[in-house]
Amino acid sequence: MLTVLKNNWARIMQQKQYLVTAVLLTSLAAAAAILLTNRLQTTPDVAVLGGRAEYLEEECSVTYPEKAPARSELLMNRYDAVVKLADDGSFDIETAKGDAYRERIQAAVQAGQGALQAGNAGRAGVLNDKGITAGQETRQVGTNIIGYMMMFLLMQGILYGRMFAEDKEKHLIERIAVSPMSFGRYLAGQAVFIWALVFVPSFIMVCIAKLAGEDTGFTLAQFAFLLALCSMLSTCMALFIHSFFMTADTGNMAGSCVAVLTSVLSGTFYDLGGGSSWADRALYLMPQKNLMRFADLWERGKLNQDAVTSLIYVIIISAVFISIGMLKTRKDYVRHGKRLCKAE
Amino acid sequence: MRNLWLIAKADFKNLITNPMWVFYATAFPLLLVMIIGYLTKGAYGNGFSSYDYYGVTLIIYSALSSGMTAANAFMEERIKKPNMRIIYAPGNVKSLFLAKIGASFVFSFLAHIVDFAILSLVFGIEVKGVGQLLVLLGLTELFSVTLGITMCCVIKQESMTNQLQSIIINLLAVLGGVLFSLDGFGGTVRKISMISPVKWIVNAAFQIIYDRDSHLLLPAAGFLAGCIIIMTAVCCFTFRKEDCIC
Repeated sequence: MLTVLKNNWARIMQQKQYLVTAVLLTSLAAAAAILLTNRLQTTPDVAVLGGRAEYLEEECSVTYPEKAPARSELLMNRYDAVVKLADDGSFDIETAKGDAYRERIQAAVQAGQGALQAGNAGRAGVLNDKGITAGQETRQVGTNIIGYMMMFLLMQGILYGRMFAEDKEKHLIERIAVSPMSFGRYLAGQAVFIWALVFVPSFIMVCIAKLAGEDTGFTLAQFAFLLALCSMLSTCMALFIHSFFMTADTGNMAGSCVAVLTSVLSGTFYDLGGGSSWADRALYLMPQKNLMRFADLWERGKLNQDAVTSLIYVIIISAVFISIGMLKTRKDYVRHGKRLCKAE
Repeated sequence: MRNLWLIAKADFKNLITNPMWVFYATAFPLLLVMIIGYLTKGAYGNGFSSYDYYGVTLIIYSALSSGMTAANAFMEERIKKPNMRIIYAPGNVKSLFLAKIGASFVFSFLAHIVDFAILSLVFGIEVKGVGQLLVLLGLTELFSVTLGITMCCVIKQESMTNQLQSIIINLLAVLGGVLFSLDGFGGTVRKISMISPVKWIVNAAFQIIYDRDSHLLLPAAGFLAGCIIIMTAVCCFTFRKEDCIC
């Protein structure tokens, strides 16, 4: 196993500048994730036209632009809603976000106006139970960081899995198969190699962020555990995907696509919820979704059964991935290689 | 010129007969839009649908990823030997990479136009200002294809190019709010988002469609065109015949 590690290291060192670029880029991704998530504000943005609406300011960041925002700004979520107040107390709401959302804003404006008329000085205590933001549990910083890093971690796994793919492409693996080293050890060596290269730079970035005083949500030990988990998933997925493709390039390509698609679907960046319920439930098949749920519950300090189930699911699916990868490779190359040798 | 045309034709043929690339250029964007659009349907309403947003952004995203196709058309294992022959043939060697740029551009551009046409018909995506949109999409496509080829010329290795490029593109795409909109996350995030040129492209596209306003088109297009020229120059300087010998 050490031999594989050493050999892989030597190979990657021959392409030092790429290693440096790759590590730099991935650290950049991690840094961007941390910087970005610390600045996310999830309060709704509302633009109010034709009057003031102080009563909304408690829950929303309200702006008073001079002319109506463009429709494209609504679609791009720049404004969650535009409220047009008329002089006679009626109002008009424009939003891209569906009727339920519109009703909430409507209720808030109505309540606020009612309070104003009752001489309540614009205090919108009326909103408490049916507020605009009610019922939305937003994720906290640590979970968001993990979420934003996830896709890049998965892509890195595929990137560093290249050594394994190259072994297959250039038929080195058949030679390795007939060498005294067992195939399991070979694969374990590859796995440790990928895992370390994925884990170490990202963890260092988190440490730096912590030292620089950024809010990271989790403690370093917790982060180490979560990143180790992500790296493990990434490693297993990389070996799994690469085992299905004969050439490294196709594997890379397919792997990147899968990483992007599944990460976005799992809502690692932004919870996609709100679709139909069966689709939502089907998404829990994705390991990333479960990892996110585990991180989320952990950050809230609610390590309940759901969290544990999710954690176990991630571990099991990683194990399944790496086992399939191993069996498939063994079937395709190792046995085949041995047969070839015997025939010769 | 004739050389260029011949090589480009061969490259185009090579791209269109490779099922993996055809899948990647046509089916993958469709799948992305359909799945993500379906899942986010509930978050939109009142005249906008999730497809209105993701149909546009994800096609831009696919256009940005077409650099991978270009990198492959340039330095794929099975293309390397033909490349070697070409550099020994009489004629200008520059036509080699120019042909790859042309062929992959035409290939991905066509694929994405067809995709977008299908999507807008099926999901009723609002489209206005088709001419301007085509210019924008075309430039984006050409930008990413040239980026792929430039990185190949500089790095001289296809696999690393692909990987690095996909990380760069995805980073820019996430910052640019292509996979999900960052605009709703407050002023600081909006500013960070503007760092990414992808954001300019997306903004310009939505402005054309929804506001019938094209004043963002010019800066975005200018930026893309500038990058394309610079990158082509870089290609000319860094491309060496020796790299094609294998």
